[in-house]
Amino acid sequence: MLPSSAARLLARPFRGYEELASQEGDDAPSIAGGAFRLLFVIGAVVAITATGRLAPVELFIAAFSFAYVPVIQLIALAAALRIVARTTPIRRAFALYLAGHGPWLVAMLLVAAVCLLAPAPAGVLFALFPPLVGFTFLWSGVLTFACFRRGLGLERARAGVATAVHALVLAALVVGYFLGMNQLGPLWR
Amino acid sequence: MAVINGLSRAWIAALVLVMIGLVGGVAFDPRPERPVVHRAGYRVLEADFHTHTTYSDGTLSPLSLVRQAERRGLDVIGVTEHNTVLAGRIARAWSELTGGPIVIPGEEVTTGRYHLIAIGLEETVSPDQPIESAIAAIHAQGGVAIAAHPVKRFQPGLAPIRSQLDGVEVMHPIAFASRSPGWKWQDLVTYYEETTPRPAAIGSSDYHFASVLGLCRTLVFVREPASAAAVLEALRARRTVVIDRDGNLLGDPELVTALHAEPYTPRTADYAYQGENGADRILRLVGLLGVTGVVFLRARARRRRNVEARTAELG
Repeated sequence: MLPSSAARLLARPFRGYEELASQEGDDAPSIAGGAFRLLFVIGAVVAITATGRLAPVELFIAAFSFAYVPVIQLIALAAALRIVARTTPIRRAFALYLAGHGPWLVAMLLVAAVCLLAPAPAGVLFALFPPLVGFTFLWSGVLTFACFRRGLGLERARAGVATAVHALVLAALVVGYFLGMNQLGPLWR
Repeated sequence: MAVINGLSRAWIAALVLVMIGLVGGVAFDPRPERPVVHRAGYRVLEADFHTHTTYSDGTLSPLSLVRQAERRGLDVIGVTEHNTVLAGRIARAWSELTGGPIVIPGEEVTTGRYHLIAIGLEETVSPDQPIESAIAAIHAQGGVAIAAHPVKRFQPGLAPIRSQLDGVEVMHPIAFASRSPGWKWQDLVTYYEETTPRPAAIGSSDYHFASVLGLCRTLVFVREPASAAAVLEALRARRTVVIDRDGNLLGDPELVTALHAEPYTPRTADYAYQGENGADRILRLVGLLGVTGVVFLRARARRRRNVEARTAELG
């Protein structure tokens, strides 16, 4: 059994991205494959956590509802590359980037597993959430840096700036949505 | 076979597990009956008036929320997204189209000082106004206003309109597991009992995520025919009862007496992911295992194997 690119990157971000960047043809990562994998897991986890099982309609609706996630990731990635590496082909960069969602996929599947296997899921989830989310953000950040550094071959400083810009734009888009819907501002007034 | 030839056996096996999990997801997906029950001359409806969707910090779309309410045997849901009625209107349209439960659009008017559930709205009530104006706007639309999880932190913010509240959340999932030390269930009970005139007792799940939709629910005693308007009328008349964590009945004294004389057991749901039976439990794990395999196993077979297979086919 061979691990997928997402699994290899999860274990060895820098070496993994170096190998992935050198792959061509059928073995090269694709945008469709990466986006499908992410939305498939989101759909499956939403279906399992809500209904306790892999309800197909819930899986499909959730995948569709969260289809904005890869879109805002693309915007954040494009913004980062526009600033630090204008000549980098965006399609290839996005395909490589989408392969690095391993930490989030593991975290989501872990939550689903807790729901199905833990005797008292609510208590376990309350305890698990903060460290899980913290670690996932951290490891995901490492993978994004590795994507810029080894996957796209940027210098260390540029890769660092790109990672920071990417994270800032992504956060700004999410916060911007909640501000736009007037769901965040009133909390401070 | 040509397509399968390019894929690894392990990945195909994982895909098969996903398919099996999906079959289990259809076969064991519950759709409990919602029998018509009467007590004290009214029809009893089970309601959850505090739910969220993907339009803010929930994980279910308005469409899936309606389907989940059916699974939980709820007759009524209030869709109360933070500071918008949009999700509620979508959920109501979907439920009407699919013959789902009664959906009452609403909003959780959310500020740093208070959270106020408003149901029976068509237009969003702005949180950017004094709470007195907000509750007036809710009532002007024919809606009802319910104090959302009035723990001590929110009680000063609710103080100016306490006597105008139509309902108070007296049961909330914090009764079972509190998210922070300041969120105490007993504070909700005390707030309800000390509010005059006595508002409707409300049990809500404050649903964002996971299985808990309907975990805390309100028994609403409506006049026939059951409708959103009948539910709102019952709430204004305070004709509700909530069964608390310890089995005590809170709400309209006459209805509580009626339920003591002729008890009513709310529909139960599988909040702890126990499953319908052994086959259900196995199939859901098989599905999860399959999803994990599809994601973390390499889909394409090794190139050398493909060449060998093609050579064999040609030969």
